[in-house]
Amino acid sequence: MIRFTDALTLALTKLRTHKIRITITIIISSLLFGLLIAILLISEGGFQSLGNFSKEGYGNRFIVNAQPISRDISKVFDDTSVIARAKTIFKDNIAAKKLAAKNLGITYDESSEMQPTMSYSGDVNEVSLSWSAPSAVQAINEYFSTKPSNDLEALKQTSSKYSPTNLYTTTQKTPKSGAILFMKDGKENFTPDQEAAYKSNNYASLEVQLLTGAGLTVASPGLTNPFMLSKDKIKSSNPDAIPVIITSYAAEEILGLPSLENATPTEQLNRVKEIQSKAGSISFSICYRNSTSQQQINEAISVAKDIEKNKNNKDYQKPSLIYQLPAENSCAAAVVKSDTRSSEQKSYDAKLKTFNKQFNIEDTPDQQKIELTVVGIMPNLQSSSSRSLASSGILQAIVGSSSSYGIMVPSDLYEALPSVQRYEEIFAKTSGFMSPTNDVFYAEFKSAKTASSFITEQTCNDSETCEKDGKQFYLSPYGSNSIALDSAKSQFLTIFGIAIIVVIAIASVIMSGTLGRMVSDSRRETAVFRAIGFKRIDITSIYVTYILILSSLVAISSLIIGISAALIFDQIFWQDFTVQSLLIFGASDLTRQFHFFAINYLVMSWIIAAILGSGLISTILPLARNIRRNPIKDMRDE
Amino acid sequence: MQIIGGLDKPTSGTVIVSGDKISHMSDRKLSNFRNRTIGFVFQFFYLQPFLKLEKNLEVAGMPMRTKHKRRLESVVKLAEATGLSERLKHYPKELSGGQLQRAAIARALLNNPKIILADEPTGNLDSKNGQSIIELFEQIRRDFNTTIIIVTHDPIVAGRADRIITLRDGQII
Repeated sequence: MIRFTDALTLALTKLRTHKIRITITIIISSLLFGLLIAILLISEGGFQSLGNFSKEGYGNRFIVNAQPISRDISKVFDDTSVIARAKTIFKDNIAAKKLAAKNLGITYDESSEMQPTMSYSGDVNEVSLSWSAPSAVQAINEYFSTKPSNDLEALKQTSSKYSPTNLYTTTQKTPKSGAILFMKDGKENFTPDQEAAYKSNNYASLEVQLLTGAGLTVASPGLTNPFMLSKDKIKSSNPDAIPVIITSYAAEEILGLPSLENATPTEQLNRVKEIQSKAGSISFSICYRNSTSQQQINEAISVAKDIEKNKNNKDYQKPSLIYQLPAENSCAAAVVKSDTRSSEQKSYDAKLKTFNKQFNIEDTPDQQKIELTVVGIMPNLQSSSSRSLASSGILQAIVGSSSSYGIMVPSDLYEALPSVQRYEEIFAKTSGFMSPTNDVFYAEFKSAKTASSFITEQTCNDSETCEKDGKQFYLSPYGSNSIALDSAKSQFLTIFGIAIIVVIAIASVIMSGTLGRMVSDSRRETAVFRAIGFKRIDITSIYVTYILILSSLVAISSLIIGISAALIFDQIFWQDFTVQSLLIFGASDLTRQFHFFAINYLVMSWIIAAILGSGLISTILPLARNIRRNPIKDMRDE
Repeated sequence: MQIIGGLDKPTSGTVIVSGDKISHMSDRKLSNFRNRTIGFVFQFFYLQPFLKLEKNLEVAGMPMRTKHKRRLESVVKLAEATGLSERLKHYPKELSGGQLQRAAIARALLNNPKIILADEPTGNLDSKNGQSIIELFEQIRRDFNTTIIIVTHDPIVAGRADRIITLRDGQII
């Protein structure tokens, strides 16, 4: 076979013929492969950046939320034994109250007690338990106390064969009675507009969150750690302050920062920096009032209004006991302004108090000002209008990483608080017979695949049969889309592989056309070479070298086109995506950047090989035809 | 002539050139035979338009994998012999018809073949250039001791040959 340098010399002369055809071939093939390279660089950059940012928040973690299924209560309400038990409780309760009232010398009206049963048809024999009657609720709770509950232990057993790396719990803390209210600027709003709060879609606002009863969520450190500020940034001096993690938006609200409408990426980034630098020194107060305390506050307000309205009415008789509002910043009980009750009335009220206490009927105001100190910042739960940019929407949909809770409290820090006992008195743990606990559980897995299998195989799909099937939880991905993202990454490579094959096929057809023409136009030249003594393999080597040069030109042009396109794309979008990522991931490291340019050398090598391969594939047919021809015939034809 | 050059195969009979039975050779052996034993000169020269004359002459040495330095020495020598020393760095389009045919002859001589087969070598040239090409063939025969077989319709050219074989309607007469 002739030397490679000789084949190269002769192949290069071919590039000087059919210049227009060759140029068009190179351009079309380069555009096709350039597009592939651009997609590869951009997607690789995107995936790498996502991976980088995924180190923040819940990204790159495969957590499954396990919501215990509700108890099947459909039959309990008609269960004769439970109905009988409810009636007994009701009777015993009335008998006890009657006796106590008699002993204390107070009146007791048993008709004020809610009957444990009710009849829907009017037939006294067809009764079922009344939802809200305390005696019925107690009977139902007694019935369920013997049934197994879907707790952390149950999740541990269900998930054991999937080897979870960790199990976590979150507990919703809402007051047993009354409410907790946000003290904006340290002051209590005695007349909060609850209706307006419900209508508001701004769930990120602390005021709204607390007003709508979201309460605090005490969560395992495994769930809160990603959002914690570094210890040196936390500056709280109150040891009893409850450590909380709030959203960026809530932090803006407390810091009194104006909403960033149509802000530039730089402005948004500066806002993130400002929040991060100040977050550690943020503390705010909430005011807990039980129902009686709230009732006294409401009474103080309404009585004050009545007095004002009747100030010229001589027939108006003021109530014997008048309350006035406490100081706005105190969260104290309503203050007795005047008490003109007779000694008999006072004595009667005292007896009533004893009676209420005996039967656990709340009649004493209880309130507590609670300080909360910020120890972490979470990404916003919902985009405000200023963040509804395309990049934000895309990122939020793909990688939105959030706790889904408004105010989170790390359980380890909470349990170490000196006043934890007092807080536990305020907050309820159970929430009725349908769901025995407010707790939600989580299982973390090593891989997206295991997490997906766990969800698919163990989730409760049909609530009617789940209890029977032993499926105790509704399972769903939690915190981020890392499970979906992981499968998207592998799917992308599959789709990209198919795209490469399609492009190779198209490029091969185009190059084959050019080469076919080139070969057929060079028959005389081939015949001369054969006459001079070139073997078939020598002719082949010249054409193979030629196609390799052509393919290399396509490869170089494709690289130039692909890299340029990716760099331009990156230049246009990196800044916006960086800011949105910092916001969405709640990144603590603000030096992170989101770039749409990264080289996957392995896949890139495959593309280059594909370009060269498509060239070689395209030579097979025309060359096979050419070297089998009779040189004499070709010379004669010429 | 194509049969003598190993480019074509006879439908019957045997072809022996310099003791080699070429009518029964494989394609590979025929290629070697053409490269080492035969030098072709065509009526239309068939030089590579995008190679300089120097490289064009070298092409004949490529199948033998002759070293570039040696090839270049031969090219210089042959260019001198054919009067093309001054034109080695030129492209074929810059040469005259006579120079092109001289170049084709030089290329045919590069591997020092025993036989040169020339197909109407003067058919595309004016009489002056044609005359000069025949003189060049005579010089080659003398200097290189090469057998030169010329196919021609020109009786003047034929008249300069040592031996004339006349073909009429495919028959030697």
